[in-house]
Amino acid sequence: MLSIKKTWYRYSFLVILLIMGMLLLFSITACNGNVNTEEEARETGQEQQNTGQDELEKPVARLAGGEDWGLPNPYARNPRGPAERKVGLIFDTLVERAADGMVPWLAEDWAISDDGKTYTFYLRRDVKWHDGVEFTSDDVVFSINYQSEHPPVSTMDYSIFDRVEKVDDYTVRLYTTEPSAPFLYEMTSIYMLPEHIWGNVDDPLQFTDDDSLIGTGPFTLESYNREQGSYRFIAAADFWGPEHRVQAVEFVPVGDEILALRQGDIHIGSVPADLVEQFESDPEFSIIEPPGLWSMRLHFNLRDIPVLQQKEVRQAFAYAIDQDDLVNKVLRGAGVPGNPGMLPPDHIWHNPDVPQYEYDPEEALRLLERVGLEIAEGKLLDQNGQPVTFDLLTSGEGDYARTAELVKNYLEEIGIQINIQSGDRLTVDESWTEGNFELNINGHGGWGRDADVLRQNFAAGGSPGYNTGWANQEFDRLALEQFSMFNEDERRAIIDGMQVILADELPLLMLYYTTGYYAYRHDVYDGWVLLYDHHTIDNKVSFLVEEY
Amino acid sequence: MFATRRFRLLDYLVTIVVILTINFMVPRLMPGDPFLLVSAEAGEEFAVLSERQREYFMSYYGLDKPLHQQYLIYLQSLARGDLGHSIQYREEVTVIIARALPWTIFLVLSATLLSTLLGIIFAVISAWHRGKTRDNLLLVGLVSISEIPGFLLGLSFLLLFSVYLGWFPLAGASTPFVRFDSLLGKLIDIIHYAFLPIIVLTLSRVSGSYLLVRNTLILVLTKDYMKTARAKGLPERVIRYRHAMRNALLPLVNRIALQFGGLVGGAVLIENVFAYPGLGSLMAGAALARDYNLLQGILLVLAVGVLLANFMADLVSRRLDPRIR
Repeated sequence: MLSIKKTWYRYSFLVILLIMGMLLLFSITACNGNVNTEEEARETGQEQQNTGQDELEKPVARLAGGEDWGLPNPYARNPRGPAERKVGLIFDTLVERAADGMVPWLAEDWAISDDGKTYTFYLRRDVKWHDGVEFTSDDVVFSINYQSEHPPVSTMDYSIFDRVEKVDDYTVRLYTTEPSAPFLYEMTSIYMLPEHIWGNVDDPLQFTDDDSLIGTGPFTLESYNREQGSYRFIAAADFWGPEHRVQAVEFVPVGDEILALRQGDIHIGSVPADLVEQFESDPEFSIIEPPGLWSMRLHFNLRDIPVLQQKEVRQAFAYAIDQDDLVNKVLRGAGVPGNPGMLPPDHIWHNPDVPQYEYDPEEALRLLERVGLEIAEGKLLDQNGQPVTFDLLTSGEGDYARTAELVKNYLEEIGIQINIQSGDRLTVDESWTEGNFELNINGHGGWGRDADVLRQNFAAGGSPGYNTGWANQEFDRLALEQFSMFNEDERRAIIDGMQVILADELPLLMLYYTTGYYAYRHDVYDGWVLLYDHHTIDNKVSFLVEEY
Repeated sequence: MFATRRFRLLDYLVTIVVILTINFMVPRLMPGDPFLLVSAEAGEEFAVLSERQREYFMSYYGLDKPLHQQYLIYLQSLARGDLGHSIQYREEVTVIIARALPWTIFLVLSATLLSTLLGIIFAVISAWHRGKTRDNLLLVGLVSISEIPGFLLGLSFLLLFSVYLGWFPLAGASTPFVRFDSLLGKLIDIIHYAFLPIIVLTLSRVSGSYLLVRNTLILVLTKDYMKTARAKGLPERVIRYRHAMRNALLPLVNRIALQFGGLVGGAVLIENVFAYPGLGSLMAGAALARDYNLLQGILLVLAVGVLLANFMADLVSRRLDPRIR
C-alpha cells in the first residue's frame, strides 16, 4: 500500500503533465470543431447557389498564406496590401484596375462635368449582393457617406468628397470639393458596402459577423482559420461580372515558399533570382517577371544638413553610387536601376528623357569641388575645412542592410564618410517621418499608382518623410496644374516636365526598383494577371476571364 | 506555516503588479506607433494614413490620452478581465490569445515532457556507464544536436521527412479546409502535423535535462547513503530508482519550471519554420506592429504561465523533498 502511494508521488509530476497534455489536445480539437460549425453555417446558406456542376471542373488556385490578414472586409482587415486584395475578392468598386488600365466595374459608364467637380456614375442593373438583395444607387450613396464618417483602412483621402446624391435607382451624382484628375483612380479603392447590413452598424471596427462579408464581388469566404492564416474563397454563383476561371482561391500556411511550390502545396510563389534558372528549366513551371514598382530610395535631409542643400552635392551622390552594381549585388539582377525622374520605367507615365547620372566617381568629385568642397587625405572637407560625415539611417533587415553597406562603400570611395545606424522598421520609420535623420535608406511599393503620387510626395506639404526641406516653385505650380487637368495628353506633358525637374534637382535618389519573379505550375492554373499599376498576382482579375 | 504562505501570496502579487507595469510601459516606450505604416517589405503596398484617419484611430484606441490615464484605464479593464482590442487584428485580445495559446501549450508541453523523459533515460544510461563508450557517445551526440540552431534542425528535418520521404506535411497545424467526421481522425491529423515541430523542439532541448540529471546522478552515486543502501543489501533496482533517482530529480523539477519562459522563446523559431500557429509568432508580429494591447496581453499570459510553473515546481519539490515540507 505504502509503495503504491510512493510510486504515485514519484510520478505525480509527469502524470499531471500527461493529463494536461491530453486535455489540451482535446481542447484544440474541440475548439476547431466550433470554428467548423460556424463555417458550416456560413456555407449552407450559400452553397446551393455557389457550386454549379461546371464550376467544379474548374481548377483551384492555391497561394502562399499562413499569416492572419484579418477578416476580409474593408474595416476588419489588416492595413497592408495582401489584406486589401483579399477584400477585393469579396467586395467591388465602381471602377476597377485591370491589366491595361482602368475598366468600368460596378459603374458601367460615367460622365465628368466641364468644371471637373461633378461625376455621374451609371450603375449596372443586374448586380445582386451575395445575400440576394439588389445593388442600387442607395448603396453607393450610403457607402461613400458611411466611409467618409468612419474612415476604413485605406490610403484614400475622404475630404475630397463634397456630397453624393441619388439621381435614380441606377444613377449617382458625386460632387468633389475640387477638380481632381486622379479622382477616378482613387475610386478604384472605395469598396461598396450593402446599406441593408452596414446601415445598422454604429461601430464598423467591431462588426465582424458573417454578414460583414457580404459584397457583390466574384468570391465569398468559405473558410477562414485565423491562427493558421488559411483562407478559402469560393466562386460566387450569381456573380454579375466576367466568368470565373477558378472554382476556389486558397491561401494555405507555408513555412518555406520554395519547398511548398516544389511539393505542389501551392501553385504560385515568389522565387529568388538565384533559383529562377532552376525553375525555368523545369517543364512543370512557368515564370512571370512582375514590373518594378517597389522602390528603394536614399533620402536626404536638406532641412538640417546645409551641405545637402546644394543640388551639386546630391548629384555627386548619384554619380558616386553604382546602381547597376546595386541591382546585381542586392537583387541578383531581379530589379531595375533607379530613375532620377522618380517614376519607375515600368510606370505608364514614365518619362525617359530626363537627366541621367551614369556611375562616374570622377564626375562626382568634380561636382563637389565646384561647390567648394574638397577631399584631403581621403576625407571630404566642407567650406570651413572641417571633415564631413553623414549618419545613414536604415532598417537592419535584409535588403535594407545590404543596400546601406554598399552605398557606404561607394561613398567612401570618393571620400564621403558614412556611419550606418540601424533599427527595426517602425523605429526607423518614425525617425524618417519626423525628419529626424541625415541620410535614410527606405523602401516601399505603390510606385505604379496614378502619377499624382509625384505631387503627393514632392510638392510643398508632401508626405511625411518626403517633406525634408526641398522646395521648388516651378514644380509646385506644375503639380497643381496636372491635378486639375482632365485632358490626358496635356496632363501627361505636365507630368513629363515634373519628372525633368525632379531628375535635375534630386530631392532624393532612387536606388532601384525590385521586380522579382513568380514561378507557377501552368498545368494547374495559368490565368495569372498582373495589373498595369501593380506587381502582385493575387488580385481578383487573376481569377476571372478577361472580358471587361 | 500560515504566515509564510500569506507572505508567499504577497510575493506573487507584488511580482504581478511589477510585471503589469513593465508590460504596459515597455511597448509604449519603443519608438514608432501602431498607425505608422510607411516603409514596407519587398512586394508590399505603401500605406500611409492621413492625419485625420490617424487621429480617428488614436482616439478610438484611447492612445491620445496621457500615459498615466491610459495605465489606469488598462488596470480598470484588466480588473474586469478585459484585455482590450488588438489594433492589428481588430479583435478582442482575449479571443486571439485563447486561439493561439492551446497550440503553444501543446507544443511546449509535449516537447518538455518528451525532452525530460528522454533526458532522464539517457542520463541514467550515461551515469551507470560513466566514462565508458556508451556515455561518451551519448554525451557528444546529445550536446552536438542541441548546439544546432532549432530552425536549422527544423529545415533539415523538413527536407528529409517532408520533401524526400513525404511522411509529414510541410507547414501548418492541420489539413486546411478539410472537415473530419470523427474526433479521432482530427486528432491523428493534428498529431501528424505537430510531429516534426515537437521532435525538433524536443531534440534541441533534451541535452539540458540530460546533462543536469547525469551530473547529479553521478554526484549522488558517490554519496554515503548509497553505500549504506548497498550495505543493507537492497536490490540494485531499488537503489538506482528509489534512492538515486529521487534525489537527482529535484534540481530537474526546478529547472523545468524556470525553463518554461525560455521554451516559448525557442518555440518562436520552430513556429516560423513550420508555419505553426502559436503565441510565439503572434508575439513577434505584435511587437513589430506595435500592437500594444495584444503585446501586453501575451506578455501577461506568459508571465502568469511562468509564475504558475514556479508555483507547481514548489509543490512538486515539497512532495519530492521531505526537507522542504
